[in-house]
Amino acid sequence: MYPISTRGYLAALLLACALSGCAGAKPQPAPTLYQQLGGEQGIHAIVEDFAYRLADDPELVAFFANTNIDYFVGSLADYLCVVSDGPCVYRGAPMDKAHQHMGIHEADFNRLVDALQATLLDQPISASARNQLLKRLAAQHAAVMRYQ
Amino acid sequence: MTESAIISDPEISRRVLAELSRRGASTAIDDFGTGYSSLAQLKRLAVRQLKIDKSFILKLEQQSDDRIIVHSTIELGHNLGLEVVAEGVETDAARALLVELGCDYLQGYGISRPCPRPPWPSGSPPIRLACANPCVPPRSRHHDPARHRLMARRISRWGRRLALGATALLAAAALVTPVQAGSRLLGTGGVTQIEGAAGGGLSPWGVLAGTASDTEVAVTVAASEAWLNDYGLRVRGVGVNWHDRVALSYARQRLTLDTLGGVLEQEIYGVKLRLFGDPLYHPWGSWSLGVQHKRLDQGQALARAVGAEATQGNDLYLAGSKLFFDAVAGRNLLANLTLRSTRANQGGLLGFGGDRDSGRSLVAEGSLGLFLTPAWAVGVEYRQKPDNLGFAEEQAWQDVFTALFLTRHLSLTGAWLDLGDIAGLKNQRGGYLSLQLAL
Repeated sequence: MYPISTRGYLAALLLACALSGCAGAKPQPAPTLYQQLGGEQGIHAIVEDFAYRLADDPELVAFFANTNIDYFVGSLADYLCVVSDGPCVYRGAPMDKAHQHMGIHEADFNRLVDALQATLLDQPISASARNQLLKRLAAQHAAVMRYQ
Repeated sequence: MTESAIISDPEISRRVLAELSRRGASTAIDDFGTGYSSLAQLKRLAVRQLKIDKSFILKLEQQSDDRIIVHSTIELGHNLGLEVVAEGVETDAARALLVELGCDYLQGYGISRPCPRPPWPSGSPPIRLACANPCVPPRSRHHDPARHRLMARRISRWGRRLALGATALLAAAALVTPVQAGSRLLGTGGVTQIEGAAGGGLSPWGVLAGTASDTEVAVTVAASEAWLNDYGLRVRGVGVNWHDRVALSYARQRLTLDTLGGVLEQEIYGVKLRLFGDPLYHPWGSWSLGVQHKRLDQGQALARAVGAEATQGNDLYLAGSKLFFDAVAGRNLLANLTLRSTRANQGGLLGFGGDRDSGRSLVAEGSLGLFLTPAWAVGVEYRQKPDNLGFAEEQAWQDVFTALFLTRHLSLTGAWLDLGDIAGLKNQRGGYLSLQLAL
């Protein structure tokens, strides 16, 4: 058994070690959300799965009747990349302008969020990455609903 | 007619009583429950009334055994088509309790002193009856308010059962057909709390029932049971959410006093208006204002006996709910805060206001629920309560819970409750299960 003072010292060392990451290795920068989502490939998989879900939902697909789907898919991938701090440029309209006068109800918005959550649940990503992305997109609710 | 006369020649007694009844005399078994009065007499003799002996009535408020015996005897009498009279009614509390139990006639010094025998109309048959007891002039069966209340209660009870049954059938139909219950994310409408509103187990939340959005309507039906040390609580509730703006709810609570004996029943009519916001998208979450009108339906006498000022009351509350994404270990955390203005004792089951404090209290309620998966939440709840009654202290309610949102139509909640002391019985803890159907 160590004397009490030694035990206190060891505990302090352990705590300091735990806080600093130990072993003197260079601190790794925390991975961006983009990396947590699986980078370009991960985003591509998300967008593809999500587009199929929108197509399968008779209520939601109506909003895309006059949409160029290829353009939409590419633009959405860029948007998700930018939102998750990835190395992309989003060239589409801001969220309020992009959705203006589409007649989107809260119910539609919620259906879309539900579909997106289902997509994310099917991806090999962590709960934290999934919920971080949902958080960043949920913050756009006010903008999307601004001109309905 | 004395008991010894009946015993010495039961056959003649039976015939005499039958003849008396035929001539229009009202016959009653006196001091039922003591001496020679037996159940066999009820069967054999042509009597119209059964008078419960005063030894069961005098300490009715204090003795739970007496309450059980009296309650059962009244039911027995009614089931045999007899009128039931309680002897020895001396206090207001006993009187209220007996009316509550459905007793038809009361007599005793608390009602009236012995009254003089009314003069016999001339020409009536020469029957001499001893007016041995103090009496209340008998009321006509057709104008007996206690009986009317009892009948009205029975009718409304059947009405409610029908309504609940119909809603349950509708809900079952919705379960087997692919109807969308609403489009809000699973779990964001909470479950049905014990007063019928959308919330956790104990507290109403700032969200409305089910998952209906701005263009949708949701209906929820819930059944909950709690098993505490000395009590059992059963709640049945229905709720309607119109366009995620206004929700109406009705709940019926039934508290069985396993140790004390007896049953308390309360009805709660609720309205909740969502003022603004959304638990997911609005930075401040979703905020709602609600009213709960509560009425003790059974057990009013008990509530008054323990010092409550009223047997109905209104709770007013403001509730907010906010979901924090990626809050704990990557999971989403739903936080709820409720401020309530209330006079209710033990949620209203022991009446409203009391000898210690008759006014309104502002109390706080809160809960945290962590969504381990989008369909499974675990958490804690806390509900502060007023402490109005001098006879027994009242503590806060709290619980730990887990809720499974199996589909949009079906959720199952389990909890471990700690409801503190209730009506003097210490440390009421136990399990809680609640099932909610939504369509």
